[in-house]
Amino acid sequence: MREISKKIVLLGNESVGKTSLIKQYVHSIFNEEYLSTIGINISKKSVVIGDKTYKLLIWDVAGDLMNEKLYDAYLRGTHAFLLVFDVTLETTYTSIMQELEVLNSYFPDVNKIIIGNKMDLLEGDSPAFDAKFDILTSAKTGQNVEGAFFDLAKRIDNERG
Amino acid sequence: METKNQFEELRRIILSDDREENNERNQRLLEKIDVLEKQLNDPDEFVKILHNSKEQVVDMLGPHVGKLIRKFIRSEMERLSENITQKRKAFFSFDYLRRNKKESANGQLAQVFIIHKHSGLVIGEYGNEDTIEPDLIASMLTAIKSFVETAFGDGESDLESLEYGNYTILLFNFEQFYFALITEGILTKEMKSLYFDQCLELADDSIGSLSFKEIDDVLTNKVNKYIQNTFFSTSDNA
Ligand SMILES: Nc1nc2c(ncn2[C@@H]2O[C@H](COP(=O)(O)OP(=O)(O)OP(=O)(O)O)[C@@H](O)[C@H]2O)c(=O)[nH]1
Ligand SMILES: [Mg+2]
Repeated sequence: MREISKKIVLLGNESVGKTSLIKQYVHSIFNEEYLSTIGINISKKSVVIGDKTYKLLIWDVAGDLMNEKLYDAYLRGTHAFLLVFDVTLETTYTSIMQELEVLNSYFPDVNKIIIGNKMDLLEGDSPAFDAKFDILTSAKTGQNVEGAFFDLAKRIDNERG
Repeated sequence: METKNQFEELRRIILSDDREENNERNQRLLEKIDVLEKQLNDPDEFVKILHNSKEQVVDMLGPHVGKLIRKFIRSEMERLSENITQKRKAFFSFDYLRRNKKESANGQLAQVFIIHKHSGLVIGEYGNEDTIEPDLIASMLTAIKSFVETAFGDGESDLESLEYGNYTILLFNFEQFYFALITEGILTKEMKSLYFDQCLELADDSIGSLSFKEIDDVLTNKVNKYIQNTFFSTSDNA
């Protein structure tokens, strides 16, 4: 089977659950304790789509690393962005929407997926504020986590034409 | 104290970030740096951090020249090895290179990577011994390299080497990719320039004509062979 490598980057404010999503996806674990990422963590996981395996190198960029100069240095060569917000905190949504605009101008052709995380904390089935997103997840229960990454791999696969 | 200036430099960079919405974030970053500076100035405390909560040992700290770079690489490598082993136990991932190896010749190549410059993906890799997770090592190296070049470079110059314990990682830059040569022991100028010539030759002859639009196993298998033949073939220069 053909194996193709891709660079994935997760972005979003501090504490929205980027590291938790990756830990759930790669190691199937969840930690209630908040250990803010400082800098960057990189993990790896493969996804099979049809007759191809996508080897995902997943960059977890700390929410407080958005110092523009450094931030740009880490984003080059990305094949897909996961923009994560916390469904209980509107400010985290506003902030990834601003980020999305910047990304759209720097990387117009790169896939971007918007994830509302912590869906286990929702009363109903959507956030209390107006929000457009691709998928809701819970790093805590694991709901849709695999699905979000699978969706992303499928988009990468589709764009190859 | 030497590290003091490096922390000052870091603060200066953060403060020069003039996006208004960054202020609050920058303030938090500055607070983190204060804590880290205190910890770093107390060696016992630093060792404790390494062993207890490696998550705290960061790349913001790292590349401030000299000693701090080594600490940075060490902590990143530890973190990396944790990813790989999923154990909290501390060990340095480059130690695997040392297995079955007596005191080896100085400057000897342990492993050679060709890494896609922007994405950090492995285009090819070969080493004398089995490597764990070359993909993660390549991504980490790329993150470190970008960090140093962006935060401390003038935008023109490239990072040329990193030192880690007994290892020197030589970096040779080309337009779309860079070579990372992991060498062991003391490296002479002559060896460095020999390695550079080999990289040049490989870049001109075989690698230069390849397309890196998509990095797949067909490409990497091919490049792995090129690397093996150029740097590790036993028949020549024996
Ligand atoms: N209830 C709930 N809590 C979550 C979920 N995901 C993350 N958390 C918690 O939210 C906190 C922050 O999670 P992290 O994954 O560390 O957040 P992060 O986005 O990586 O934050 P930075 O590294 O600072 O950028 C932790 O206490 C997690 O346990 C979730 O889906 N549901
Ligand atoms: Mg994190």
